[in-house]
Amino acid sequence: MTLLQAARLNVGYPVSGAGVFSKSRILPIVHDTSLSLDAGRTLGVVGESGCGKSTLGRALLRLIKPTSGIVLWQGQDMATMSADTLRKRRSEMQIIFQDPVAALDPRMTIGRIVSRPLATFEPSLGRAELNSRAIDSLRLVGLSADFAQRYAHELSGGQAQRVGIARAIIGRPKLVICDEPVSALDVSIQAQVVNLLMDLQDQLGLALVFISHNLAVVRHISHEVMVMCLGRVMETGPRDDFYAKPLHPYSKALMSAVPEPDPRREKGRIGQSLRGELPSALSPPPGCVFASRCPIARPRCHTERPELRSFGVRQAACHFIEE
Amino acid sequence: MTDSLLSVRDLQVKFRLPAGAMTAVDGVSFDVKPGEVLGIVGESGSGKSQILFSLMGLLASNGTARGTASFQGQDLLALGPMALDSIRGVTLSMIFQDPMTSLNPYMRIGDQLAEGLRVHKGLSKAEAWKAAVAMLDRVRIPDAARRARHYPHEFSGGMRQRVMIAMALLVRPALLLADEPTTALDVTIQAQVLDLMAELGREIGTAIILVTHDLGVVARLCDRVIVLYGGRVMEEGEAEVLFASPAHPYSQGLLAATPRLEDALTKRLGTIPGTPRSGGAMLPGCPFAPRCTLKIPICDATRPPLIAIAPERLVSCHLTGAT
Repeated sequence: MTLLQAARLNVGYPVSGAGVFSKSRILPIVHDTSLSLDAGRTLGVVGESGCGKSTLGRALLRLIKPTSGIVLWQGQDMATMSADTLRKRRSEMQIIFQDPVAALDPRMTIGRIVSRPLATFEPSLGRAELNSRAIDSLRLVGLSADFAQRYAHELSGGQAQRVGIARAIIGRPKLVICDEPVSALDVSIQAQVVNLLMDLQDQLGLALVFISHNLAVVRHISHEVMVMCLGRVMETGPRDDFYAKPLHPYSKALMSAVPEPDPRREKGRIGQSLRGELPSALSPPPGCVFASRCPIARPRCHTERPELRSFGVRQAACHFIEE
Repeated sequence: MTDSLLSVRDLQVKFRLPAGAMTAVDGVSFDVKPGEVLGIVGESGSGKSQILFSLMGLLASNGTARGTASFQGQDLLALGPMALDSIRGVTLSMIFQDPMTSLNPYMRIGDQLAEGLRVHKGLSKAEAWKAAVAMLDRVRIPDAARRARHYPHEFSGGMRQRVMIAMALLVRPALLLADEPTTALDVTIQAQVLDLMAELGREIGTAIILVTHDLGVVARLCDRVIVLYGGRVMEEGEAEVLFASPAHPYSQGLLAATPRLEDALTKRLGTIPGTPRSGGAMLPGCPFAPRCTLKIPICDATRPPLIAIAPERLVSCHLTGAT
């Protein structure tokens, strides 16, 4: 069942114009992005900083209003939902953030933080009920009941991220957007949190949008992968196809840039990094956004933007995939 | 070892805190040979950065370092500020995680680079400027002669880190200390910076101590590795040997927890239970014992000595000693 669909989504932020009296304009961040996510599945969104992956995540939840395009939640257009309906639907979608400690109110007990979504969406629940549901949710993420009495500053980064997850799942959502959820964590803790998200998906049938710059983590958790660069989709496809043989030169470059714990392999990769500089998002090039760094770029790439084209179940935006 | 460039013996770093003394580094010894790249890898709180800060005389005011660190015939830990200034930025340089905080925002990039050459090497203004521009070009700053007249805020994060490397290596130091130099960078930019460190280090003959939490970064750059936990050396060895056959349960756990692009997709990542040690009183036994799945009673009671299990291969674990 398709849970979430986005079609030709464009998202931008207003920025002030160059002069004091010039009008503000919209700086486009995400361009013409389409995706579809089924219940119980994970879409991994990968890209470097500034590629628009976090903005996309927020636009999918309608935390930012897209400039154009549609987002369908279980077939219903989120833009045409009444405020009341949107509010109800929101209980079905949650988000967790990169900085787990900053995402928790320092003056509230963990129990209260975790039960907040319930208190909002089901105001009839009493205090005792809220507390016991919070404890259930904490247990689901591997934290004991006594955490409910603690405060955010008493937690380690990994524990705080578990609390963030407990808060996200307490209302039994159908979708959780995970925005770089493990980037700030130590390796051993990162593995614990990734495993926890996969367990919760199995138990609760959650759909996940997993936003990350880490290709190896995305490979582990995702069913589908989408690669973005400067606000544009470069490639999408099922996980196994993508990792077995990425189509886009940008995907290939990302993959060979990831350092892996294997000295024999890594020593051979020295000297193979990309040349050239990333173009500015404020003045994107007319052609392919990767052209300035692409090892196989030709004149056409600098002038003509490649459309996203289908290759079987996969899609990629490059003029020269066939070669 | 007589052919060592740097010999650290029984390094202890302690901090005075309101709650009492906190030991960050507890009896660490190691050697760095000329031109060698040594990786020190560990999670947060392992004390890895404090080792570098103590060598550089940059510990916070409530911190003290004991032990010896002989570098080219002088004990770095015994030198006063004046004596240290004749070494720092001359034969011993350091680069940090955040390049922006290490650059003077009010000074042109070219002047900041040239300053070291003028102060320490006695070059004229024109000569120093010329050498600075040549070095910027060497670290692939496009249009280096023009960019040298720009200020740090006009550079991207990756360019700033390349500028820091240019600055650190311009004086051709015998040893470069690098504290998580690529952690804040995107993977493609990280690959560029690691390439530069490898190329320039080799060209100039500079030895490097690279401190990082990323096993992949160690694999790409380092000849030898020290695995640190709770301020103590868990294991040391040549990179290829240690990654191929980690001997300490902590190194084994770290490697299993790191997702790789070419792993068979097992359902779950390996994990280490618990969270990294953060301060507190020193344990009488092995610092990793509280998280170790293989521990035996002696692990909580007595510290395992660091013993050689092969040439250039040291391990600190009671289980290794027993066999």
